[in-house]
Amino acid sequence: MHSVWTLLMDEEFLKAYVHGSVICCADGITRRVYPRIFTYSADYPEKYVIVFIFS
Amino acid sequence: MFNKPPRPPTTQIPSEDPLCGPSTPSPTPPPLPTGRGLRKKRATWKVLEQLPQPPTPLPDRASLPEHSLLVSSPVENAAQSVPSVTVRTSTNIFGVLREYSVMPSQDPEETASLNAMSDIPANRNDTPSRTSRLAPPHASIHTSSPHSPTTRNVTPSRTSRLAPPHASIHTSSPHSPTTSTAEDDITPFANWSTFALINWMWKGSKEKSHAEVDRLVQSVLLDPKFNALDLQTFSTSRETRRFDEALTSKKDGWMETDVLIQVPDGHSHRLPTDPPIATFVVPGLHRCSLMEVIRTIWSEETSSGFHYAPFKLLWQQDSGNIERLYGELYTTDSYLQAQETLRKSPGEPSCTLERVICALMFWSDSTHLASFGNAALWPLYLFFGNQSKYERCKPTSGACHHVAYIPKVSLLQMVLCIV
Repeated sequence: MHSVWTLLMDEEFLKAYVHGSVICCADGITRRVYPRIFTYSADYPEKYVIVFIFS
Repeated sequence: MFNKPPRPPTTQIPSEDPLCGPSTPSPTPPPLPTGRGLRKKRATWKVLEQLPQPPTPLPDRASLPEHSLLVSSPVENAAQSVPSVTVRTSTNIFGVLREYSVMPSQDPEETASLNAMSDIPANRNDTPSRTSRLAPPHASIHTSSPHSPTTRNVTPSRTSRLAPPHASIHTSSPHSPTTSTAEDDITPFANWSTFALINWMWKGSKEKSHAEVDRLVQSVLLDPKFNALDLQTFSTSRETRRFDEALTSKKDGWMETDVLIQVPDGHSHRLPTDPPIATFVVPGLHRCSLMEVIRTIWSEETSSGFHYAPFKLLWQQDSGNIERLYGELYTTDSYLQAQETLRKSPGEPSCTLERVICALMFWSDSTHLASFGNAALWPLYLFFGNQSKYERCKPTSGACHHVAYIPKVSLLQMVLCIV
């Protein structure tokens, strides 16, 4: 699961996380957007895979 | 199949039967062999694969005696007895024959074909019969004049059990089907097109609903761009295959990669001379680029309700007390804190754009695809916390974005790989 997240957090995402990504939003205003992860929900069987209690 | 039960041979009928001719003395039957080894073995019907066969046709009228063809009136019939001559057909392969006391004026079995005998469709090369005179497959899209020759042969089969009562046209008409016109054939319907459509709907598969047939007519047949000539080489399987290939060739931003997992094997890997760490490859991770998803959604019209700046939601009571309300991600302390951290951080050089936070909310849940069996998916979903939960949680809002499909790995696989 952590390897999957390593693949998901690719170079582009990490760069945007630090330096932001310029996006023209739906209201027509261009903003510099910084992605931040706030929640990560999963059921218990998935969660104990995530925290390596069980593979 | 149907076959008339064979009548007993005339030789065994008593001679006083007026319908039969003079009886002949029955020959002495040969002695039947007895015993197990002498028993005659016959192949069964299934082994022989004999197809049903209609009764053989009547003999030619010219070959019969003249008086057997007389059609006398009832009065004459009562006054004098017409000498009867037995008219007998030859036997078919099952030994079935017919016997008439007078020559019948018409033979209903004359046009019977193999299709009428069997539920299994017969060879197409068979001569067309009354029971196979159904509308051709292309009849429902045939939009030419109703006087075309194909419209003459659309009388529903009288043996068709799928046809509703109102579609069983012409069964009691005195005209024979070959002489009937198209106007007679479509009797309850206004025109041939309507008849052909209803005929198609009530035959074949029973899964066709009224609404679906209406949709076919409204969206396809009545479309001005519809041209029946385009469908002359149409094949459903071929076009579906073409559609599938077009779908699979368009990846839509999805990538398939292998996941590499380093597995502890109990050996030391500190020195460069040590063997490499055992790596287990899990194939089949389907994923999207996160930034591609964010960029697409944020520039779409659906994100017009997004909150780009966090705030505190407060409630002032009648007593004057102010209470904090929590309900959305963009009203939480976490968001406020993240925004504050971002504001204090040094910005990009020579960039005056507004800096906002894209709140990512991931959700992952393994999904079983079947009630029985182990077919399962483990998708990773992405929601945006900038969107109100009242909009986000609507199933129709399309606010849930698939980011990845995670492959599952079993412990047994991993152990086998290491060993």
